[in-house]
Amino acid sequence: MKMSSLVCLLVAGFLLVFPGKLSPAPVGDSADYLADDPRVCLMCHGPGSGMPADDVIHGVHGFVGNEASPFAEGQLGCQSCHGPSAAHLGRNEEGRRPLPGLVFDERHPVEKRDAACLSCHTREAGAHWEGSLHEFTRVSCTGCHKVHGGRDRTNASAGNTEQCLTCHRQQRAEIQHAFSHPLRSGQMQCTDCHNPHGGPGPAMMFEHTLNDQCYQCHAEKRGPFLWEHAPVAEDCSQCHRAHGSNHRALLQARTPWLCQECHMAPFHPSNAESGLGLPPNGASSNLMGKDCGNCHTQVHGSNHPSGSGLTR
Amino acid sequence: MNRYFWLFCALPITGEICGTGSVHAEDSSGEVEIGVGYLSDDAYQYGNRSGVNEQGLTPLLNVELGAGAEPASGATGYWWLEVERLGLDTGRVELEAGEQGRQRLRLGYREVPRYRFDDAFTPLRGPGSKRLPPGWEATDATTGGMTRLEESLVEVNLWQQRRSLGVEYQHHLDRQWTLSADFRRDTLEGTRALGGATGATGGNVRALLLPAPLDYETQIALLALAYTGTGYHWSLGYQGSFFNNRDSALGWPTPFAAHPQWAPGSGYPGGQNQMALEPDNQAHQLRVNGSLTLAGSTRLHMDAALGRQTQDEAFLPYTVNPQIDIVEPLPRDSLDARVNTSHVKARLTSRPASGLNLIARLGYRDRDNQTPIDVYQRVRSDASPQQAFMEARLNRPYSLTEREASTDATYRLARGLRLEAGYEHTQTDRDYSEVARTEEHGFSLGVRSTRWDRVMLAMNYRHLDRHASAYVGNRPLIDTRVPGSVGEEDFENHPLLRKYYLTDRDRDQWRLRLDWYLSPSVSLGSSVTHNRDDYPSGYFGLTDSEMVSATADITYTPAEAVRLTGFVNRDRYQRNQAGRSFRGSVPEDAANAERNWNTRARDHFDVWGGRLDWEDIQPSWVNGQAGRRLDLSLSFTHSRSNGEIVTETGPALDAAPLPELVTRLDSIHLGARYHLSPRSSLRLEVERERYRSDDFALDDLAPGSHPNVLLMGQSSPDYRATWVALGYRLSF
Repeated sequence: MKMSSLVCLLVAGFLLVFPGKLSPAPVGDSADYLADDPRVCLMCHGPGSGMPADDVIHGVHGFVGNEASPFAEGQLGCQSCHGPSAAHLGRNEEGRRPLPGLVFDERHPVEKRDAACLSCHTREAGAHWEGSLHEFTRVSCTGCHKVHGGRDRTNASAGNTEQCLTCHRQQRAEIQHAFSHPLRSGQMQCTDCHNPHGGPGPAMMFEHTLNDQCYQCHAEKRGPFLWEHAPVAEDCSQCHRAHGSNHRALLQARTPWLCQECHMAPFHPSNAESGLGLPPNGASSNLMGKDCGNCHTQVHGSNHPSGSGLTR
Repeated sequence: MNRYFWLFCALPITGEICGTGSVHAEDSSGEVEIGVGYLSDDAYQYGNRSGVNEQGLTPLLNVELGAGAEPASGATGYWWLEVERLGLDTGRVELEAGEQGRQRLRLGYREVPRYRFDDAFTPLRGPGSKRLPPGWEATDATTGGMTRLEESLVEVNLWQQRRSLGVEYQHHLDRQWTLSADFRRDTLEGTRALGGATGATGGNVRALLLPAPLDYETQIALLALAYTGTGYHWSLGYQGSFFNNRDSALGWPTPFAAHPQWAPGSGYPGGQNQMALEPDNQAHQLRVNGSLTLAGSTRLHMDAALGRQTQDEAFLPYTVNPQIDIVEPLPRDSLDARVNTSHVKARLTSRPASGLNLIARLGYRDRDNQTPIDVYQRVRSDASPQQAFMEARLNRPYSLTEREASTDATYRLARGLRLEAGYEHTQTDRDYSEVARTEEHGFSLGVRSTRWDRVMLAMNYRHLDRHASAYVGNRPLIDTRVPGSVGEEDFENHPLLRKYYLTDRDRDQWRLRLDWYLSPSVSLGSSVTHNRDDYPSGYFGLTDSEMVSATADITYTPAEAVRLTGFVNRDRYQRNQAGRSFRGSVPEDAANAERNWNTRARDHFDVWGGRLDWEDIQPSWVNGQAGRRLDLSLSFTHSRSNGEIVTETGPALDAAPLPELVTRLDSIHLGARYHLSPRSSLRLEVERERYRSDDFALDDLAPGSHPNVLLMGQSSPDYRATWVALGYRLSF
């Protein structure tokens, strides 16, 4: 609790010392805004132009019947997101065309870009976005989402894994390992477990703990069992590796050695297992078939009154 | 019930929802593709990806339909339907309908197969492995005594199929209020291999691997109400999860003849065994979260959940073998297990000054296991007399409390240069454990630079230091025995063992990432990650583990319609552990260092691949005919993993090398779509996959290879297959 108190003090310190603020979105007076948006914008950004943007009015953002749409009555059209852009029609002192109020690339800070999206999409981003790993490491909304055009495939429940793997390179390799969840085939998606907008659990999971996330599909391992296996109830990753492994059931290491990292009782649990346990040298039940699982089959927990050894 | 029944039932509902948003038939569009595929060879495990694993022809159907109001029309209704590989074991259907900005209904159905082995064998017959074949002979308590084993074996496939049906509904009641209701039903069916212990002779239990039916159903329901105000947000929700196993027990006959140490009647013929399968259970959780803007960019977020997990499946008897007398009845008819869970997460974020980001977090997790403790006088392996009271076991309802605190900061030192720093602390309290408390402190440092126009460089370092309170190795032994039945100095695990998740640990993690944008069309990326864990020396168990991962990739986009990507990755995992082989019957073994052993396990992974996408090619043979063009994609993947396990022993023990574990996958895929007109196209898909694995636990081991364990005799997967598919797509 000492540490908790320290952090509480730290939190209070933030509030007292740093009352700063950041303008979330470009704001200007009416003269800064371009009239007749989007018609004027599309004069240069129409079909066939060098930088076409007309597809936005044919996509989800173009629905005039949705009062929250940028192109609904009373909204500012393109400038709803791009900010006041009247100056963009002219030239600056260097003879170059000034940028619109906001462009969605590195020329404007990610905080301002995201603020423009969040001015309408707070609900969609969810309660965990602020302070999430992606927000903290400056992954912008448009880094993943397609704003213009038709369906945003990032929102589709199938097909978003490729988007994630462009940055998460280690996971891209791990899903190719001998044993993995069916991400490589597209039958599972990263977003089945992880919320890219942040979540209460570790690694932006939807659930509060890794175990609760695993139970979403593996509820049979939740128990509670009569005979529990302590590390199972605590953290699935004590034994399993979620993205890929060289060992069956995505285990961290090969059994029986994985089991022997915690179990070293007399006789077979403490045996030194080697090639002497395989034909033609010999035959060890700790190495052949399902090794430890030949007998201790209910390793996640047993509900049999005689099953304290997790054998039944 | 037909797998697609519920989806088709839902169609009128989705029509009703989008109908309120005015969708007109003329707004609809879609694509239907029919085709046929051919698999060159039987390849059981190939079906995991494709849904096809038998040689021959397979019809294919993919559908993508949609309708939506014209954005400029003022209407907001829409719907779309996607059907992929309809009728195959990897089929997927998705249907969504809604009104933009108001409500959305999404239905999804998918199937995920897992084909493990089609070459396993068993002498057991009937659903649930309930009987041995007529004329079964067992002359002694070993597989060698099963004189008619070979002729009695029948082939069995080991597989499972997950089917998931989900419904998600979201309604924005107004600009502030949102109601969400989700429901998901998963079923898992198939046949798995379970190890069944049968008969006990001290440490030499007899066992067999038997095919066991798998028939699970899980239903998850989520209801949430959320309110978004100016500068604040809250939501309240409930989640219920209900697991149902249609098979509560698995019984099987003993195929071994009785051992002299077994109870009368427990060997073949007549000996029966029973195992409890995963019991039905429920979990309920109430969730509340909220966020509030406190001042400027400072925001407080809270998330809390209170839950309960229960399980009350009726107990099976101590033994199913009627020949064994049960003197002491079960202490209760069912467990009445109850675990209360509490989770609280609080987070404060602030951008107090330009370029400075701060986050502070607090976390609390409590797993309070309220399951009653009783004394269970077991019957070992359905083949021993019931244990006496002093030999009985007490169940241990594990509880756990975890407290976390952490803070992170990033500071933009200069344009394109950002520094990161963090501190974290975790304290975990456990009961019935060797260690009552572990505490972990850690810090992290990082720098990220984009100062150079075309280069992004990031480096991060994290160090964690875990300390455990006094390690009482025999605590589980004492806690699970009747008081007075074991002495304070008695032990089960060797006193020098330290379980890796309960002992002191130093963890170091490095990560380096470099992205280089050579030109607008070429980018290179690379990263190196190094993790190392060190445990206290002088003890048994895991002593250290290390992971090194290096990856590099390239993207080349010479034109808008052409994209070439490639990647290469090398991972190395290493774990070192120590132990001492000791026999309970030779007390001096436990102190004999000449019986020590060390095992080094290394896993190497090499993965590389590439992909070329080239769209809008104008083939020479079309002679400029409008609309005729070709889209091409070519990809390949090579994945190889090697597992090497080396055991070294002291002079009192012997060891021999173990064969290497190898898995190799090579896959090449060619896809071509030839557009005959703007509304029709032909698709050709060719995939060649080669998979080979070597596993010493399976390969060249007949069912009777081990005297005490009846195996299933399957080999590790080894296949090569070519898949060719041709389809015709019509767009409208």
